[in-house]
Amino acid sequence: MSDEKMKITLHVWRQKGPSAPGELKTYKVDNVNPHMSFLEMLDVLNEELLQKNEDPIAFDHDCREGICGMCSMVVNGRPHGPRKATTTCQLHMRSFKSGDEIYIEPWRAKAFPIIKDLMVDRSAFDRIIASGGYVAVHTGGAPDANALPIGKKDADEAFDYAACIGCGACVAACPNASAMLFVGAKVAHLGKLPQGEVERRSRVLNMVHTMDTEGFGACTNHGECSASCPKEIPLEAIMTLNRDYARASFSGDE
Amino acid sequence: MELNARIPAGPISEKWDKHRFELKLVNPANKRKFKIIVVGSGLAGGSAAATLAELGYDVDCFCFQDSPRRAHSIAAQGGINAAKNYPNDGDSIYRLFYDTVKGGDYRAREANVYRLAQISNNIIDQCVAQGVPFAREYGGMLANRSFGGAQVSRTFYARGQTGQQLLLGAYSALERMIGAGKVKMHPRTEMLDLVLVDGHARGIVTRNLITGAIESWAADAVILATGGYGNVFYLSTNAMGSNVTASYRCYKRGAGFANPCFTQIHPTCIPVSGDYQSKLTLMSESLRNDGRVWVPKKAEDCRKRPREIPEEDRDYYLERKYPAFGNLVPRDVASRAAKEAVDSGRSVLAGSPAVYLDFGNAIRRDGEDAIRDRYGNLFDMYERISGENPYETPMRIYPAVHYTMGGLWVDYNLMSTIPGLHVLGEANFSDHGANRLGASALMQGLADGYFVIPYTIGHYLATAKQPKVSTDHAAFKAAEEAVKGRLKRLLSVGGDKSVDYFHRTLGVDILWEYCGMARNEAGLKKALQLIPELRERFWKEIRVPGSASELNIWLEKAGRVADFLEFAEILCLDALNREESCGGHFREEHQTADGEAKRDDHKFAYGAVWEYKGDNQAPALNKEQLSFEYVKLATRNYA
Amino acid sequence: MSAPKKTAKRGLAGLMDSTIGAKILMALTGFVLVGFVVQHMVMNLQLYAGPEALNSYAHNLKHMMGGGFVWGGRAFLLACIAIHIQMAMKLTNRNRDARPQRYAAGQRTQVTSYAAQFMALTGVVILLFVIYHLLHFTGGVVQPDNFHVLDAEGRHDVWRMVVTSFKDPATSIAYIVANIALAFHLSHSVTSMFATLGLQSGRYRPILAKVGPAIAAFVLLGNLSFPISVLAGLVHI
Ligand SMILES: Cc1cc2nc3c(=O)[nH]c(=O)nc-3n(C[C@H](O)[C@H](O)[C@H](O)COP(=O)(O)OP(=O)(O)OC[C@H]3O[C@@H](n4cnc5c(N)ncnc54)[C@H](O)[C@@H]3O)c2cc1C
Ligand code: HEM
Ligand code: HEM
Ligand code: SF4
Ligand code: F3S
Ligand code: FES
Repeated sequence: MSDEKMKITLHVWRQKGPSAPGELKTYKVDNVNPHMSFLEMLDVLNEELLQKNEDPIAFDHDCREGICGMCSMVVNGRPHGPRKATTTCQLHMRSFKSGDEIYIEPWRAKAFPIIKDLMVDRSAFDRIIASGGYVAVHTGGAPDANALPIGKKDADEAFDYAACIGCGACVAACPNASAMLFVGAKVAHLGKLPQGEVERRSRVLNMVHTMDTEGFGACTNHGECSASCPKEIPLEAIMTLNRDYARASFSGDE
Repeated sequence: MELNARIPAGPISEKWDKHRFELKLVNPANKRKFKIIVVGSGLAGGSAAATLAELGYDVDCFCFQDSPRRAHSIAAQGGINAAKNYPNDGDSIYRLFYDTVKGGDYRAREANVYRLAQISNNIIDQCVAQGVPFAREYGGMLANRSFGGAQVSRTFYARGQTGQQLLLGAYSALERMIGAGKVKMHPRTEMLDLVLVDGHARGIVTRNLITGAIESWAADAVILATGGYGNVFYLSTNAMGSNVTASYRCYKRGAGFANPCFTQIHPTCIPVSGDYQSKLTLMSESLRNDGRVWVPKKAEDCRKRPREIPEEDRDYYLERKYPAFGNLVPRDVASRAAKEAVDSGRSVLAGSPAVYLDFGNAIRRDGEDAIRDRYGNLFDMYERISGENPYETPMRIYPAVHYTMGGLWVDYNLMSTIPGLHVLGEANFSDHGANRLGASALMQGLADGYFVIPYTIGHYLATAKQPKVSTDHAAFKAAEEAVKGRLKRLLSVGGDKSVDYFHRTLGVDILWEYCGMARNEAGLKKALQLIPELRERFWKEIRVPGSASELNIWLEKAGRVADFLEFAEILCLDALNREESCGGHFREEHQTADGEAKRDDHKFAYGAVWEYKGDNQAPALNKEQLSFEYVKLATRNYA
Repeated sequence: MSAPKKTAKRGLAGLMDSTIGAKILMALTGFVLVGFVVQHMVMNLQLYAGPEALNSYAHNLKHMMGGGFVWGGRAFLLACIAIHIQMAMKLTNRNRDARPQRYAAGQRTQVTSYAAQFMALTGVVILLFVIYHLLHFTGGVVQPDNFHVLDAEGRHDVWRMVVTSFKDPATSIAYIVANIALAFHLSHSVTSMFATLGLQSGRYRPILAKVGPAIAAFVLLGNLSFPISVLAGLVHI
C-alpha cells in the first residue's frame, strides 16, 4: 500500500447555529496520509484553521472505534461514507484517492435539528427509548440468570438487533427521514427475548407514538436505512415492528 | 487527611451483610426530598442513577456526550466476570475474590474485593432480566469463557461488545426513569467544579457545551462516576472525551487521590501509524489464545516481509521466556516483553514500535474458517484500520494505555475524603489494586452502581443531616466565578500553539516516555522537571479561539488538558514514591535477575493517597495501610 | 410510578393517528385496488375473443343483481381510492416535512428503486388517468362518438368502442404512458404492501421482493397489448 500523501478538496457544511443559514465551504487539505482516519483528516484541517484563526469545524465523535455511535456525517451523499458497515470514525483516507472532492454534510432530518456545522441533536432517540425501550425491572430481586433458558438462536438474533449504536444513520439515509429501523431494532431485540414479552404490546405502541410525535417520516420501504447502517441491522427489524404494532393495535388487553 | 476505610468488623464473608443491616435507612416517603447528583452515565453512573431513582430519590444525571448511552463503557469488548460457577469448574466467590486480590498484586483492600465477588452474581441476574443478550449455549444456558489468563471460565460475554450491551441495559433502565420524570438528564454538560458547603459536597458547577452557560446545581449528595484518566497519555484506548477534570477538581477541593501511578497497559492494540494519530484501538485479548507473538531474531530482518522470515529466524519471545504460560501471560508481563523486544531494535513497523501477532499456525492447524468464526469481527476491524489482511499477513500490535487503577480514594461506603462525595467505577481506586484483571472493570462499575451505592448513600443521607442549600449560596457563586475566570484565562492567552500540541507533548513525549511501561528514578525526575515547564508554556503559548459563551471545541479540550498538565505531576510523584514494582507499575530498579517485577510488601503495602495542599505546593502523601488476612502474599510467577 | 407519561391510543383511533396505522390502511386499500386492476386486465383479455365475449361480459356484469353489484363495487372502490389517496397525501407531506433541507451534494441511494422514489408522482398520474378513463369508457364524455354504439343485440358495444378509440394514436399513447406509470407504482407497492403488514419476513422476503415487479409486469403486458394490437392492426373491426 502506498504511503504517498494525497491532496483532497473538501466541501464542508458550515452553519453557525440551529437557525443560522448554512452553506458548503471549500477547503483544500494537502499532506493527507492514506493511513489517517477520516476524522483525523478533519483534526488536521481544524489545526490549520486554528492557525488561520478560523472557526473549527464542529463534529461529534468520541470513541473513534465504531461503537459509541456519536460520529455522524454524510460523506459524499452517504451517511458514514462509502464503506459498507463502517462508521465515519473507522473510515480511512485510503478509501479515497488523491485529487478527490469530498462533500461533508450533517444528518438531515427535522427530528435532528442542526446544532452547529456537522453536529445534530439526536435526543429524539433517547425520548423514544424513554417511552418504552426497556424491560421494566427494578434493581434487585431478579431470578437466577439461568432460571430462564433462551435458545442460542433467539439470543443470537436478539443480539443482532441489540447491536444498534443509535447513530441515526438510518434516519439520515432514509429518503423520508424515518426512524423505523432504529425503533424496529429495539422492538425486535426485546421481542426476541422472553424478558421483553410482558410489555411487548405497550412498548411498541408507546415507542411508535413517540417516534411520530418527534417528527420522523414514515417508512415507505426504501431499504436505504439498513444499507447505510454501520451495524447492518436487517430490514427484518421493520417487519417485526410493523407486525407487533398491528397486533398490539388490535388487541384489547392493556 | 483522615483515611478511615470503615471496613466492617467480622469474618470477610459476613462483612457486607452485617454492614448492610447496620446502615441507616431513609424513610421511603422522605427519599423524594433528597436530591442526588450523579456525574457520569457509564456503567457506574448509569446504573446508580437508575437504581437511586427507582428507590425514589430525586436524581440529576450529567454526561458530556450527547446521550447517556455513549459513555465510554460502551467500548469494552471482552466480558464481565462473575462467580456463578455455571461451568462447574471449581469457581466460587472466594476464588474470584482471591484471584482479584492476587491479580491486583496485593494492593487492593480485601473487604472491598470480597464484596465485589459476592455481588458479581447479582449483576448477571440483573442484566439478564433487563434483556442483555449474553452469549448462550445450545441448551439455552449462559455461555462462559476463560479470559485474561484465568484458570476458570467465569467470564460472561456478548460477542465482542459486552460493554455495549451492559451499558445499553443500564441506559434503558436510566431512560425508563427519565421517562417517568424521576431522573433529569443533562447531556452535553461538563462538570467543571465541585461545591462544598460546611465541608460537605453539596453540588457542582457545569458548563453547557452547546450554549457555554455556566450553571450551578445543588444537591444533598454528589456521586462521581466519570471514568478513568488514561487520556493523560494522549494516546490511549479511551474515548476522545475521557478526562480527569471531574476527579481532579474534586481533588483540588480536598478529595484524596489514590495510587495515580497505577495505569494498565494493554498488550494487544493497533500500533501508532503517524503523528496525526488521535487514539489507539484495542484488539481483544482473546486473540492471544490462538495468535503467536514474535519479532525477528535479527534486527536487519525487520524490514523484510514477515512470511519471508523462516521459522528459525523468528523469536517467539513469550513462549521462550514463559514456557508455562506462553502467549497467555498477564497483560503487564506481555506488554513489558513487547517493549523489551522493540527496545532491542526489532520493531516490525517502520517509524513506530510494533511486534507481530501471527495466526499463520492457527490457520494451518484449524483452517481459515475456524479462525474466521472465532475472530472474524476483530480481523475485520484490524483490516479496516490498518488496511492489511490479517489472514494473510501477521497482525502488528503494540501495548497501549488502557485502564487506570488509581482514582479518588473511597472508603468501604464508596465515599471519598469529602463527606457526601461518593465515587464509583473507574473513577475510584477501590478494587483492582495495582493491576486489573480482564473482565473485572465492568463488574466493578455495575456492582458500585446497582448494588453498593443504593445502600451506602442512604446511610450518608440519614446520618449527615445537613441543612438544605440552594445555588444562591455564596459557595456556589464563588465556584462559578472561579470556573469563569479559568475559562477567560484560557481564552486570553492568545499564543500560537494548539491544545493538541501540548496534550501530545505531555502524553507521548513525557509520560509515555518516562512514566510508561517501565519507569526509573532518573526518568521520573526528568518528567517532574519537564511537566511544570510544559505547563508554564501552555499558559503562555496556547491559542484558544472563540468565546466561552458558545459551542467551543478548543475551549473544552483546553480545560481538560490544563487539568492533565497538573495531574500528570502527581502521577509521576506517585510513581517516584513507590519504590517497588507491582502490577502495572514497573520500576526498573526493582526487578529480579530475570527481569520480573519485585514487590516490596514490607514498605509499600499501602494505598498512596495524595492530598492537595495548594497550587505550587507539593501535595501531601497519606497512607492507607493494607492488611491481608485471607489472601497469602506471594510472588506472582509466570515463568 | 414508572409508566410513561404519554401513552399511545389503541385500536382504530390509534391506528389512524400513527404513521404505521396510515400505512396499514394504504396497504389494505391498495390490496383492493391491485386486485381490481389485475382482474380488470384479465377480463379485458376477452377483447381478443371478439365482440360477443366482451360485450356480453360487460352487459351481464352491469345487470348483475339489478345493477347493484356494479354500484356497490364502485362505491367500495371509490372509498378505497379516497382513503388511499388521503393517506398517501398525509404521509407524503409528512415525509417531505421530515427532511426540510435536502443534501446539498445530493443523496446517494444504494438499494431503493426509481419506482419507490416516485410513488406519489406515479400515483397522481394514475389518478388523472382514472378520471380521464372514466370520462372516456364509462361516461362517454371524451369520445362520445365511440361510446354511443350498440351491438347487434342492442347491448353497449364495448368491443367496438375500445378498438375504435385505440385506433387513434394519441389516445393509445395516453393509455400506454398511464400504464407505464401504473407498472412503476405496482412494482414497488405490491411488495411494499407485504412489508407494511410485516409479512415480507424471513424466508418470504426474497420471494415477495419479486412479487411486486412480477404483478406489475403482468398487468403492464396485458394492458399495453390492447392499444398495441389495435395500432398494429392485429385486432380490427
Ligand atoms: C477499549 C476498552 C475495552 C475494555 N474492555 C473491558 C472488558 O472487556 N472488561 C472489563 O471489565 N473492562 C473493560 N474495559 C474497562 C471498562 O470499560 C471501564 O473501566 C468501565 O467501563 C468504566 O466505566 P465507568 O462507568 O466508570 O466510566 P465511563 O463509562 O468512562 O463513563 C464516564 C462517564 O462520565 C461522564 N463524564 C466524564 N467526565 C465528565 C465531566 N467532566 N463532566 C460530566 N460528565 C463527565 C462521561 O460523559 C461518561 O458518561 C475496557 C476499556 C476500554 C477502553
Ligand atoms: C392518486 C392516486 C394514488 C396516489 C397518490 C398513490 C400514492 C401512493 C403512495 C405515496 C404510496 C406509498 C408508497 C410506498 O409504500 O412506498 C402508495 C402505495 C400503494 N399504492 Fe398507491 N397511489 C395512488 C393510486 C393507487 C392505485 C390506483 C393503486 C392500485 C392499483 C395503488 C396501489 C397501491 C398499493 C398496493 C400501495 C402499497 C401500500 C403499502 O406500501 O403499504 N395506488 N400509493
Ligand atoms: C388498456 C387498458 C384498459 C382498458 C382497455 C380498459 C377498458 C375499460 C373499459 C372498456 C371499461 C368500461 C367497462 C364498461 O363500461 O362496461 C373500463 C372501466 C374502468 N376501468 Fe379500465 N381499462 C384499462 C385500464 C384501466 C386501468 C389501468 C385502470 C385503473 C388504474 C382502469 C380502471 C377502470 C375503472 C375504475 C373502470 C370503471 C369500472 C366501473 O364501471 O365501475 N382501467 N375500463
Ligand atoms: S439502526 Fe443502524 S443506522 Fe440506525 S441508529 Fe442503529 S446502528 Fe445507527
Ligand atoms: S430507508 Fe426509510 S423508507 Fe423505510 S425501509 Fe428504511 S425507513
Ligand atoms: S466516534 Fe464512536 S462510533 Fe464513531
